[in-house]
Amino acid sequence: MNDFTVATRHIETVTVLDIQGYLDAHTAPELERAFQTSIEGNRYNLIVNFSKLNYISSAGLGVLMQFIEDVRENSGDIKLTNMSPRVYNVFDLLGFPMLYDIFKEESEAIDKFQNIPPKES
Amino acid sequence: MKLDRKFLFLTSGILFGFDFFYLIARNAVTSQTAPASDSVHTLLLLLACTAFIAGYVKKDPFAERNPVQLIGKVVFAATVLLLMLGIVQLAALTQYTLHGDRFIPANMSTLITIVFLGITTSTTAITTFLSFMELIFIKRRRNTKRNFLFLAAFGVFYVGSAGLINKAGLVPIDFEWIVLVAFLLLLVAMIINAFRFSWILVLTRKEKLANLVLSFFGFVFFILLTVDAGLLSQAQSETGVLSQALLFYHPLVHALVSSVCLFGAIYMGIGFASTLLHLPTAKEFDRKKTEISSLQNMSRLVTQVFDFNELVATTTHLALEVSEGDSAWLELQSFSNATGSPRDSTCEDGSERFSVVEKSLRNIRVAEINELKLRDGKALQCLVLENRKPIILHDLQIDKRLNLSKSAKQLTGSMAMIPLSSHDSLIGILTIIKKNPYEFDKEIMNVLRAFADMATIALENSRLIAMSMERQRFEQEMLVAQQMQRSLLPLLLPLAATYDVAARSIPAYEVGGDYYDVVLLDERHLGIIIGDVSGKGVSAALYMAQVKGIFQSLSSHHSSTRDVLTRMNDTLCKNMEKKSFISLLYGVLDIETGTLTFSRAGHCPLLYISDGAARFLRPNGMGLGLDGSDRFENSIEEETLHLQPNDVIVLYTDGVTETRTQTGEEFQSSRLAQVVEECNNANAQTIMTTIISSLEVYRNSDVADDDVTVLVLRWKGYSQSEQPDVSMKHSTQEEYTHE
Repeated sequence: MNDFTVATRHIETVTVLDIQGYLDAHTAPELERAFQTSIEGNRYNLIVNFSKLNYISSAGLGVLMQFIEDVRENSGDIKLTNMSPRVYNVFDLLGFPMLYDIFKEESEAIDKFQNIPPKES
Repeated sequence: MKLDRKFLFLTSGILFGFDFFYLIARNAVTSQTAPASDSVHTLLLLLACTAFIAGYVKKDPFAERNPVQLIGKVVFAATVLLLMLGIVQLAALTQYTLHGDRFIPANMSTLITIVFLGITTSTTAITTFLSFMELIFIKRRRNTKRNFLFLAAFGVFYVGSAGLINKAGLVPIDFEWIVLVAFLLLLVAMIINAFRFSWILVLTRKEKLANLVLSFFGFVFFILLTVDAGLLSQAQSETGVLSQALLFYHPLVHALVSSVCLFGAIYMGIGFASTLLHLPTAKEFDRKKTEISSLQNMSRLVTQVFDFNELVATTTHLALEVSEGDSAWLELQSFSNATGSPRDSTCEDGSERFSVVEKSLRNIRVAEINELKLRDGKALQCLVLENRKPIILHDLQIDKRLNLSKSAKQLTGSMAMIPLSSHDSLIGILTIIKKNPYEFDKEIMNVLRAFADMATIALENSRLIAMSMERQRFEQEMLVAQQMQRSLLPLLLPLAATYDVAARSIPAYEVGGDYYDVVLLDERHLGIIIGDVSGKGVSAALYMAQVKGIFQSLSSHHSSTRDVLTRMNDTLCKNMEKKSFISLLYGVLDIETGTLTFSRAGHCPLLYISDGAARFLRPNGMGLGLDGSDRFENSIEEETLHLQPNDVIVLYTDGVTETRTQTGEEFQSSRLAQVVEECNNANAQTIMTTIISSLEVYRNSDVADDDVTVLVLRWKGYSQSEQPDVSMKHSTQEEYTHE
C-alpha cells in the first residue's frame, strides 16, 4: 500500500540515499536503518535524494533530525536534493531550510561536498 | 453381614466338630461300618460344607480381584494339600487293616488323622474351587456364567455320583458307568472353563513373571495331588495315602478333592503355557500401556494453557512419562523478540536463539546441558535448527557429532531432540535423555512426535492467550491515557461579547499529538495556541502534555508571542528526543480592540478571512525542538492583524490539509480556504463543524491517518450600543466541542 524504499549509492566519499514512496511514522524506521548503516560505515557525507518521494510526514523529518547532530560532529552533513514543491513546502513550513542545505539537483550537493573535502575521522 | 459370615463359618465348624465326635463315637461302637453308608455322617458333612460355602461366598465374589493374588492363593492351597500328603506319607500317620477290599483304620490315632485330613482338605478344596470361580469371572463375557454353571453342575453330578456310587455305597455298583459319563462331561466343562485367561494380557511384566512361577508350581502340585487321588479308581489300594484316608472319611470328599485337583492341574497348565507365550511381548505391552495412559495425560496440557510456567513444567514431565526417559528439558524461543540478545554460538542459518526454560528441567542442570557441545563448537540445538527434524543420538559416548567435555564424560545413554514447530516456525526443542544407548526406537519417536505436536498447540495457545490478555490490558491503559489526554484539552473556552470561538481535536489513534488551548492571559488578552507534535501515538501525546505544562507556565509572564515561543523552545530542546519536534502557532488577541499578534513556529499558516476573501498568513519561524541556539529566536517573526467585525481566523494542524482520499489525493489548503469562504458568515461553531465534516466527506472513511485539530475564532467587534464586556464568561456546552 504505502510503499517506501531506500536505495543507497556511493559516489566517491558521498553517500546518496534515494528515497521513494511514502515516508511516514510506519516507514520511517527504514530510512533510520539506512542512515545507521552509513554512519556505522563511517560515511558522513550524506545526500538524501527526494526525487521519487511522494509524501513525507513529521516522523520522516524526525529521522533527519535524529542523525544530523552526529553527522555534523563527524565533519559530515546531510544535504537534501530534488524535492517536489509539495515536499519542499513541508520542509519550508517547519523552517528546515534554515537547518539543512537543500538543493534542486543532486550534483550541486555533491559539488558542495567535494569543494570542502571532509576530514578523515 | 460380617456377623452372618462369622455365624456361617461357626456353624460349619460346629457341624464338622459334631461329625468328628460322631465318627469317633461310632468307631468305638463298630469299626466295621463304611462311613459313606452312614447317613448321619453324610448329612453332617453336607451341612458343614454348605455352611462353609455359604460363608465363603458371602463376600462379594465378583468384585475386582488381582488375578495373580488369586493364583497365589490357589497355589498356597495346593501346597497345603501336598504338605498334608507328604506328612501323612512320611510320618506314616495312618495304619489300616484290610477288611475285604476296604481299609479300616487300625487305631484311634489313624481315625483322628483321617477326620482331621477330611475336614481340612474338604474346606481347602472348596476354597480353591471358589478361587477358581473368581479367576474365571475376571473379565467375564456373555458365556462365562453359563460355562461356569455347566462346570459347577457337572462337578456336583460327578462328585455326587462318584461319592455315592461306590463299592460300599448307597447305590448299586452296576451304575458305575454313570460315574464315567459324569467324569467325561466334567472334563469337557473343565477344559472349556480353563481357557479363561484373558487377564494375563493386561498384567505388567513383573506380574506375568510371578504368574509364570506360581502357575508352574501350581501345575506340578496339582498333578501330584491328582496322581495321588487316583481319580476314577475307587479302590483304596490303587490310590495314594491321602486318598485312602479321604475315601474312608467320605467318598464325596475324595471325589471333590480329586476333581478340584484335576481342574487345578488343567487350569494351571494352560495358565503356565499362556503366560509363557505372553512373556516375550510383556515389555512391549507395558510400554504401550504407559504410552496410552500418557497420551491420555496429554489432555492435561490443554487445561493448563492459562499458566505458561505450569504448562512448560507439565510438558517435560509428560515427555518423560511418554518416553520413559531419565531426563528432559525444553528450550523455547524467547517471547520478547530481543534483537540484541547475546549469542554464544550461531548455527548455519544463524538467526534463531533458544533458551532453556528453567522450569522445564527434569533431572538435569543447565550447566550439564551447556556441557553438551557439538564437535565444531556450536550449540547442541543447531542439530535440530539446521534441518528441523527430530534427531536421535543413539549413544552419547561414541556419537561423532558430539564433543563431550571431560566433565560430561559420565553422561551416557541415548538422546532424542524433537523440534516443536507450528506454521513452519520453530517455537522450541524438546530433548530427552535415556540412560541406556539405543533406547529411542521408531515407536517411541512416533509417540514423541505426536506428543510434540500436542505440546506445540498447547504452548502456542498459551502464548496467544497471554498475548490477548496483554493486549486487553494495553487497550485498557490506552483508554485511561485517552481520558487523561482529553482532560488536557480545554473543557470550556473563555468567551466574551466581542468574539466567538470553537475548537475540536480528533486524534487518529487513542491518543494524539495535537494540542490547542484558549486562555485568558489577563483582563484584555486572550492567548490562542495550536500545536502538533511530530510522530503519532503515545510519544506524541506525552510531549503534548509537556507542551501544555510549559505553555501555561510561560504564557502569563510574557506578552510577546515570540518571547513565549523562544522560551518554550529553550525548555523543550533540553527535554526532547533529537528526532521529535513540535510545530506551534501562538497568538494573543486584544479582546477590546481586536488586535491579534501571532507568531508561527513551523506550524501551518493562519487562515484569515476578511470580507469573504481567504488569505494564508505565514510569518517565518522554525519548529520547536529543532535548534536550541539563537537561530530559533532569530527565525521567529511576529505578525499583527487588526480584526474587523465578521473577520474569521482559522487555526489548524497538518492533519487537515493532508487529509487524503482513498487514492492518496490531499485535501490541501486551497480546499480549506474554499470551505471557509463558503460559510464565513456563520458562527465559529458552525464553521468548525463544517470544516470537520467536509474532511470526513473528502476522506470517505471513518479512519483518519493523522490527528485533526481545527480552531475557529470569529471577531464580532462592538455593536454601537454595547460597551465592551470585559468580564469574561465561559462558552456554554453547545459552544465548545472537542473529541
